[in-house]
Amino acid sequence: MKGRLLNLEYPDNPYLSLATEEAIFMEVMRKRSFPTLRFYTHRNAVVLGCFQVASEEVDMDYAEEKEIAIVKRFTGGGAVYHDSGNLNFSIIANDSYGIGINVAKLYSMAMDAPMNAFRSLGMNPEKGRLNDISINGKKILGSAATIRQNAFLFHAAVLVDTNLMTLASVLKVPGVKLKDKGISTVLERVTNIRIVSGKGMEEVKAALISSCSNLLGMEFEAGELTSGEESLATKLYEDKYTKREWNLERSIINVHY
Amino acid sequence: MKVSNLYKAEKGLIRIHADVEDGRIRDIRITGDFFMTPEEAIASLEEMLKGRRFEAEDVGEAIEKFYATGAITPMISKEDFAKAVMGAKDEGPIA
Repeated sequence: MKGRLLNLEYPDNPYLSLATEEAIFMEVMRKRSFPTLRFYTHRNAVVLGCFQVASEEVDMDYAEEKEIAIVKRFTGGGAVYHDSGNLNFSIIANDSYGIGINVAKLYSMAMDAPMNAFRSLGMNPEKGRLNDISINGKKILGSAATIRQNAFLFHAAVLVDTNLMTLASVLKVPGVKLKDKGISTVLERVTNIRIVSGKGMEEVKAALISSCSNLLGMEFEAGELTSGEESLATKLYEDKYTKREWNLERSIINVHY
Repeated sequence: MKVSNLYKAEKGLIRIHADVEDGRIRDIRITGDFFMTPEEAIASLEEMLKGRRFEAEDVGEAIEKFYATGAITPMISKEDFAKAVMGAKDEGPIA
């Protein structure tokens, strides 16, 4: 099967980046786009799960001071901090893998891509209960997935060389009242691939391309956004991803396309 | 009366913010780091809970009805949502 490899990022515009993510998913679902493996980074952003409220998850003063963008993705799960040392990848495809509407099954299949990639780089990854991966008990990957009609999307954030101090400072730990305690709690729980294995961005990316290709039975060829995806991304960007109620509150915004 | 609760499921966190009047849920908002497909279904879960008596039986019934629509929440059970909502009662009104 032929797949599209998309190196498409807007490091300083995470709103457009995530609008594009949804646009690709919709176009793959409508079978107008090839199954896609996308890689991207954001320079300085917190990305929230779609059921989260910014003020509950983010130290808003710190985010403002450090000019950290706060942006909502259209999948559930928890908040993550993205800087140039955090590698994001998405697998967007039509289901020919017997997943159906079973999201748990989707995770269990898709998580093998990063698990195998990390093993191939000589690491010893431990899979969490659903959507995360740790090394030596510390988290290095978090993921989120969704299914619509006959298509699925799985995306993950990989801590390769992220500023963990900034990550720990901007994300709030639920139930922890003292800020310093929160920061040390987070720092105890996360690490970078650079720290545990010495590997960098390009090595992780190459390993992921190869493991995704094996897992999905796909030949990836570098491609670009289609015009349909581009216009849909623009619409989603304008009507949803640049809206305060979408990014900071917990609003459902239906964009008709 | 405004009530809230922070409920930790085995995997995931559910936050409840509700407005209870005369023993009924007048308004409710459910947030957190859980997964639900389709994502838009969160709005119908809240709608189904609105107007219900703030009692375990009624809340459980609404949640049962919600799951019958086909929504899926990996690693989070019906009981988790029911406990999250009813837990707001034990937490008492927000000062």
